[in-house]
Parts: sequence; structure tokens; C-alpha cells
Amino acid sequence: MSDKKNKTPESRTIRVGALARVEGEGALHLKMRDKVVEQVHLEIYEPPRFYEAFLRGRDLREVPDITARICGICPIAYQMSSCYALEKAVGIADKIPALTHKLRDLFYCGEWIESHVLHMFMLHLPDFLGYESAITMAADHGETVKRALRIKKLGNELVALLGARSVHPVGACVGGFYRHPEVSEVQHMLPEVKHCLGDMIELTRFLAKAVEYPDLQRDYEFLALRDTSGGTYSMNRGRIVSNRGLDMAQEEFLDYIEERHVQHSTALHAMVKGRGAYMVGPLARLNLGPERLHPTAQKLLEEICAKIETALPWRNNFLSLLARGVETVHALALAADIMEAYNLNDQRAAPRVSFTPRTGRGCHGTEAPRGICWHAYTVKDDCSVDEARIIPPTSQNQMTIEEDLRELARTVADLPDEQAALRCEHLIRNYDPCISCSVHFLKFKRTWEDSDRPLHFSGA
Amino acid sequence: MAPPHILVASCGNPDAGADAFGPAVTAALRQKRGQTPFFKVIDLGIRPAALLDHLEGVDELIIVDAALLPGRKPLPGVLDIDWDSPARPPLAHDDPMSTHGLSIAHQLELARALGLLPPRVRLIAALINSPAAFQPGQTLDPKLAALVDEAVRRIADV
Repeated sequence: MSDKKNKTPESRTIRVGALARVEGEGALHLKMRDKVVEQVHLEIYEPPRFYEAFLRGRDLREVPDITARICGICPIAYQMSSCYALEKAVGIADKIPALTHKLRDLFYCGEWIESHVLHMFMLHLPDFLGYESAITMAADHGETVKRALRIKKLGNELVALLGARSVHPVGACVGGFYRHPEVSEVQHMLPEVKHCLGDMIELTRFLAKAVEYPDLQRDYEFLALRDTSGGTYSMNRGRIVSNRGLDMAQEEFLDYIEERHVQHSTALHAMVKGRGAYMVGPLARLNLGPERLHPTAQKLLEEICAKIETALPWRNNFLSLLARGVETVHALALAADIMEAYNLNDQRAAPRVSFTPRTGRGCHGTEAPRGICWHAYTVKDDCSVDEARIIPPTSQNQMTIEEDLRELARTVADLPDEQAALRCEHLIRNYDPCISCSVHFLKFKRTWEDSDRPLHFSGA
Repeated sequence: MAPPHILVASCGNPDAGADAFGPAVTAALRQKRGQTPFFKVIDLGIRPAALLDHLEGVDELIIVDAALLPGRKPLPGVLDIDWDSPARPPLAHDDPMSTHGLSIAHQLELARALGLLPPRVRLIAALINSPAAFQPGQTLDPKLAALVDEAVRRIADV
């Protein structure tokens, strides 16, 4: 794996190649001199997918189902962001009834539960506990994995309740849903939601007790939605705020955030104009709105903070594992509340608001499990899309991931290749990026260079 | 005595050439045989990570997919083989880099570690000899489409 030519300990190039397939393709390059990290590149080299281009000219009613195909893990995020943005564009945003907003939150709860639990227990926890994978972890923690799988399954079932199926659901539309669920379907699922809520509280306590969290404190700018209408922990609605004073309407997002092309990545890098990197996702949401969590999750959060002896704001993203646990408890408790209140009048209410096509523009971001997913559409009066813009959460976190890696790389400079690679992968997985599925399978290669020669990348 | 619970699960992308084989088989199977409480047919699509959700109480699991053996001459019929057979070829999605790292093979290993693996697991597959057969935007090749009926017949006869 390692080539050592003209070995000097002063400089080296580390290449983590072939993050390969799945939700994205990428690689990691670290260029170091002594313990100073000269360059960190998280390369995303997946070919552009041109969604924004081929949405042009399509009927706007097709957009939620088309954009849901962008991601196999968080299709609800793309459906909800596009629905809310397009409802603004066609002028019906103010007509969407409270019931639709609640059912959309329930829909999103399903996605948060499924996505968070899959990431926490199948992909991230093995890193913390020192296992190669969930398979080897299951030998020692079988009951924990089984309970997690049961909760993940429930998340999928909640998505299917409103979306007709859990993979690429098709139930949502501009204006609401194609149909409302039967009360009997909802009531049938409720006992399982309550059971899983109890299990998830215990599992989160386990994560606080059994896991040792690496300490990497950084002064992040956190960005998340804040719901000003109902004061709840935002999934679907709200202004976009940060811990450094940003407080913007959804329509102002591009006034404060810009995307830049960088040579080493086909994914654009998002940054706060004039300032730089920022973080979206569970840690940002938790730090910016803990008082808006469901009371059950708030109580648990207080307990967790005491257990790990760390008060909010958490500035160590390795704690994102716990943040996801608290958010999953929130999602389960919120889902139970919404389902308990659902009645026959709701079932019989009109499932969607109709609209008359018009020329207009609408912008909206919602909270995907891994952070804000922001969409903007311009539509024409023939019901077609004239322009589309989509900024997913992973491109917003990419610059912050690189900055985290720069910090971490100093501490792993003396480690052998394999261990250094594992530490880097673990850090990347804190963000649950869409390329996270592949970071367990990186090839790690480094070369030693004569310090007088120019450094160059090498490897797979 | 209750009949055994059988789960038939396909995976693949219906718009990616040979990858459409599994979904085509389960779609045809639903039409031919329908579903009962003891005979369930699911298509996991491009996200096979949900297989684990369906394994509880299953006595026999039948995976339907395309299997990839580069350079191997195509079989005249479908491959019908025990999952644990040393001769079983890798699935088209067997590599660990499927959606969020949970391929069919990984999930079945996890199920085994948790004691959730059904007593019998079979693979029914179309054997593909080149990754190029999975080209996005392509429909199912007529030669593979002709194997769908045979796969359905083998499963329906269970």
C-alpha cells in the first residue's frame, strides 16, 4: 500500500482513492509537510446528473416525483422541498391547510427515523465501537442491532403510509397528497410507534453511556431552519438562521449563500458569502433549536448532556451520533402525537389544494436528515418549469468536512496508513454524506517525497 | 399445519438493461400467482437495504436478481442455486458499495449474525457476463426477457 522513495519524514501525500458508486463518487487527498496539512481535497468526481437542466420544460406536477429520484435515502426531502417551492410559485402556499403540514411532518418523521437509524447503527456505530462493520458488531451487540432494525423498519412503514411505498414514494404532490390514509391504518401502526419510541430512548442512553467520543472541537457556523409559525423543531417550514446572526427568508438564501466550482470536485461548494464554510444537519439543528424539540426529546437531551458532561452548543461533530439519536426520539414522539390526533374528518378532508397555472417563482428548503435541501423554481403559465435550482445538504457541508479533515490530519500524522484512513473515514461519516456508504471501502495509499521536490499526488 | 412462509424479493433498476431482470420477474409473478399471507412478493428496486425489514417469520427466501460473472458464457436458462453454495456467483449488486453499504449479501450476513436468516435461501438469477449490460436507459434485452417466464415458473411451482 505504501511507497517510500527517498523517504523523509517531513512531507507526504496521502491519497484515499475510489469512494466509488452509490449516492456519489469521491476520494480524499491529504498533502502534508511535517504535521502541517498543506492541502485537503475531498474530491467528488461523480459525473454531473443534470437534474436542473432536464427539469426545464417538464410539467411542474412531475417535479416532486422526478426530484425524489435524486436520492434513494432521502426522497421525502426532495419531494417536500419541491412541493413547498412550487406551491409558492403557483400562489397556493397560503392555502395549504394545517392538516397537510402535519401530515408532511409525519411523512418526514418516517424518513428521519429510517435514515438516522440506518446511519447510526449500521454504519456509524461500528466506527466508534471498533468494529469493521455492523455484521461483526452484531456478534457482540445483537440485541441493540435488532432493536435498531425494528425502528428502521417502522420508519419505512411510515413513509409508505403516506407515500404508498417506502422506496421512491409517490404519494405527495403539489398542493398536498394524492390521498389521505385511513384512520384504521394509522391506528394500527400507533402501538408500534410507541414501542419504538421507548426503544429509541433506551438506545440513545446506550450511545451516551457506552461510546467514547473523540474530541474535535471547532468553531462552526451552524445553519438550520427555524419555524416561526408553530415554534416546532423544523422539518418542513421556517426561516433559515445561523449562530452567527444570519436570519433570512427562504427567498433570500442566495443573497447570503453562494456556490463555487472547485477544480477537484464536480459538486459545487456552498459557503456563506464573505465568510466561508458552514454546517447543516443534526448538530446544527440541535444547537439552534433545542427548546423546540418534542418534550420527550428535550428531557432526554438534558439527561444526555449531563451524562457526557457537555452542555449545548455541541461543537464536536463526533457527537452527531447522539444528535441523531435525540432527533430520532423527537421524530417518533412527534409521529405518535400526529397519529393520535388523526381522525375521520382528517381522512375525509380534501387531500390537496388545486391551483391555476401562472408565471411565478418559488424557493424553499426543508430539513433533510443530513441538512437543508433548498430548491428554487421559475414556472410558466403553461404549467411548465422554466428554471430549476437545487442545493443539496452534502454540497453545503463539503467545505466544512475538508476543514475538519485538515484539523484531524494533524493528529493522525504519526499513525500508519490504515489507522489514519479509518480515522478520516470516521470523521467523514459524522456528516452522513451521500457518499458515506462508500467511505468504509477506501483504498489508502501514500507516497513519501523528497522535501526538495515538488509534491504530487499519486495512487489508485 | 400452516404452510411455510415464502418471500420472493427482487432488486434492480428497471431502466438499466439487465438490471431489470429481477423487477420483471416479480412483476410477472404477481400477475401469475398473486400474493397470500404465506407467499409474499416484493421488489426492492434500487434500494435493497430494506430486505432486512421483511425477513421475520420467513421460512424460504428467494432472491431474484442478475448475477455477474465477467467473461462467462451466458447460460441457456436461469440459474437456480442455494445461497450458501460455493458455486453461487456474485450478484450484480453484491459489492459493498450499494446504497448505504447494505447490499443483499451484507444483509443476509447480518441476518445470519442475528439469527434472522430464513432456514432456506435460494437465488434465481440471470447470468450476465459483462457490466456493460447494465447500461442506464436501456430496456431488458430480449434474450433475458425470454428467461423471465422460466424464472416465474420455477418460483410459482414452489
